Amino acid sequence: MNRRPEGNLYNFAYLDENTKRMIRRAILKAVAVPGHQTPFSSREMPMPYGWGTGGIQVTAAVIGPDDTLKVIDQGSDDTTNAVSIRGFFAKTAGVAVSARTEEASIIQTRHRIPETPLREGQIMVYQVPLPEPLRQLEPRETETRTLHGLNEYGLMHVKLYEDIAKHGQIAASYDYPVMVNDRYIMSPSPIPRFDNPKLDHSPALQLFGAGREKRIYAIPPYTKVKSLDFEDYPFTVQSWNERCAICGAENSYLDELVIDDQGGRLFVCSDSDFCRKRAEAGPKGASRA
Amino acid sequence: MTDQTYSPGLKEPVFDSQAIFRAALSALSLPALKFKLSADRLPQQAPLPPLAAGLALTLLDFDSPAWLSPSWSKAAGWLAFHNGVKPAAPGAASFILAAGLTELPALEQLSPGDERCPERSATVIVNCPRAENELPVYAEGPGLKRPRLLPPSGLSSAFVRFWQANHARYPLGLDLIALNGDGLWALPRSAKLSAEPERRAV
Repeated sequence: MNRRPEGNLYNFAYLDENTKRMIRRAILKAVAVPGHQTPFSSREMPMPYGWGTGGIQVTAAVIGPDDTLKVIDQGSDDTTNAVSIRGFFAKTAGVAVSARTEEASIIQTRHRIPETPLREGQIMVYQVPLPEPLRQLEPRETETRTLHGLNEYGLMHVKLYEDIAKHGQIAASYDYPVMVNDRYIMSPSPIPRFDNPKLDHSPALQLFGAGREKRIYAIPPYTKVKSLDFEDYPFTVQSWNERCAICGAENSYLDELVIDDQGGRLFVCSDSDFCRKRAEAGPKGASRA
Repeated sequence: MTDQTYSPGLKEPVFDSQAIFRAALSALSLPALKFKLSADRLPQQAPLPPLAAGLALTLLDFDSPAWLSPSWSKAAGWLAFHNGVKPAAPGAASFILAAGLTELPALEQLSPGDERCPERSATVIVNCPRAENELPVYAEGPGLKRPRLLPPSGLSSAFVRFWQANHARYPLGLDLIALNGDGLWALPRSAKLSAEPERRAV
């Protein structure tokens, strides 16, 4: 059986084998120390930084001919970034692609974790722009590494406290810092804090790749992931008064759409696969337009 | 040099190494669970047992110096020929390949990484072919929904002490991949071993 896709002049999944081996070693170490940012020698990819070069390299090192790949951007399978990354792997690896969360063995994502619960054996690959949660508080890499090494996270707690003092709440709606396995503070990539609870004890393996910053980190399945908070200011997620205009979902993450210049607006699910499935199955939600 | 120095490596390097890596990744993500690999993915004429040979070609190269235990030292030429693997002293090696638990160097001889770079610790690949353990041992930690009994692989109380000392240094420490018959299982340094699973509120 010829498993190379026809007309593909690249190596399987684009990267050469030496590069894959290097990334694979980094991934294994990242899994062994959950939440620790493992350096790797990130390669130039045929797309600009910021478009998911880290996630793509992780996916390329992990993916095989039997995998089914799903790629989402802001929860949607149909945005430019998601379509081009899916096309990239369909071309260079010839793997099956799917928009259905339950069919996918590897899900590369930017900004969202699917609403459909994940299962054991699935791999989530996150595209991470800024892997260092302490970077806004301490610009020097040598210092942040030392702080992680010494488990010295006072800076972060002061920052969260100042948020509460200024705004009355912890003012981070996405990329909300988490504590992994009671040891490392980790940036969960720009997912909304709505998705943070899905990180905790997820049955899926979660891999994070930052291409420009050359870091890989991971959360193994069934690992404790706690969103940082205070006893008197517990962690909360966003909620909406509206329901999805397409499928009527009340408990999914909603995007706001402006539909005219009269102030009309609609709320729809950000997870397009979840929304489609619900819309096909049940009665539609009331449109608030 | 032996007759086997130039013996073949992986039949389909791209796809075989991917399958072997995924087994290793699954094993480290779900500790103490054995993942099987089919024999046709593995080099059968190498100077190492097929599983060790396949895993070595999947993970090791010129960037990852390796230490080979005495019974496996004859494979150094084969690893250099295929992947450019350089030999190293135990303390400087990123991979420790051992033919048996008794051939492992003492824990303090191996690199546990340092606080800033815990990823620089050694990965131990050890052959554990036996089919029973001296005592039941449970693993707990990330990747384990509930405590899991280690697969029978000839483990002794000495090994449990070795691993407990290793785990005590977390986040520093070794990661271990055990080769057992037709498959492999793993213990990341985050895994805690005990003779009895801790009682846990459900």
